[in-house]
Amino acid sequence: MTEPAREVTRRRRWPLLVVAVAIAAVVGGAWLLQSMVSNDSGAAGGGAAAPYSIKVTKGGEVLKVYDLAALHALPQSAVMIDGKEQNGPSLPVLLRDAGAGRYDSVVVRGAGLRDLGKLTLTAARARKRVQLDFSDRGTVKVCGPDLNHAEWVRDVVSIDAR
Amino acid sequence: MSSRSTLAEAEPAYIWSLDLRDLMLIALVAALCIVGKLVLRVPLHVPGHSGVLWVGLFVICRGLVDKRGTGILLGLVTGVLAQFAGFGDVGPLEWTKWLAAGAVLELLVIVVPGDLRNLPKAMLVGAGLHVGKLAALVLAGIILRVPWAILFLGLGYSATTHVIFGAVGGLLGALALRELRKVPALDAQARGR
Repeated sequence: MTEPAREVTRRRRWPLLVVAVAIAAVVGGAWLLQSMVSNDSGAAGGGAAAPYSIKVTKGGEVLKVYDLAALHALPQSAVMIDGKEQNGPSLPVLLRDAGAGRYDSVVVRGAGLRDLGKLTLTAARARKRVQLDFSDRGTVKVCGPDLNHAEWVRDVVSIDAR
Repeated sequence: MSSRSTLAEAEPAYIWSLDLRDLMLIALVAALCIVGKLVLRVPLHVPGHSGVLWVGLFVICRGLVDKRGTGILLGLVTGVLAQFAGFGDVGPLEWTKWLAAGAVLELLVIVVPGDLRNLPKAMLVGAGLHVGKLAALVLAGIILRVPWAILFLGLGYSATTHVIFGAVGGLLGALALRELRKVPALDAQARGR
């Protein structure tokens, strides 16, 4: 290969390398952010990233806060939806454990990033096979065979009994 | 070769010179991306696996409509379809993910020299646009004030799988594009004739 031809090849190659390095840097940054929230100390953003948890309230009063370990410690159940098993505590079990007592409706709130982020259930619907499921990402979603897929709430952050 | 044809090859065509065939192809690919994502649910439980299909389609579309700005338009059309097609289970900024993917596709096609039939380029473009979509999702989460613990959970793993599936999608898209460009009508379309 002549020198000018080599030069052309080199010129064509360097943007490819720059883009590859940029993508690798993005992935590296993602791992860094993940490691920050994985630490229990929650170091990201000056302590802004507390570990994932779900707050159970009744009329605005906090009854109990559940982290993943606490949710795993509850009696577990499973339902099959579209060929996939959804595992975790059921909603009535969670509300009973939190001491919600009697309620007329339940409002489930999520991050709202991958769905509408809010689901309001009557007490009767809440008791009917509504399931919490541990997602692959390490958060919890609310689903159920009697709920439409569009009603599911991913990355649940709070459950309010009213 | 006349000086006129030399000029036509040197100057890239832009989005405002899209013809009806180009627009129909963009709309078709956008619809296929959404339908494919909805219908072809593979229970892999690995983040970003659906990208193999739609990244490949994006690469094919950009390769067949070789006019600057096509990627952005494709991302916008796909985003609008994803947001308003009535599936009802998407967040309010769903459209931004697709637009970001289209913008990254356009940027990389311009920045990295060569044709999208070039396998390393297509893989890099695929990986870049797929991870661009993930970045837009994270940005949307920051705008929506999603707790960081949720937003960044599994993000490194997710970014890695997005890069891998994006590269595979780009590779498959480039291979399909090579075959499609053998069809005279599609090759002529890609050349803007």
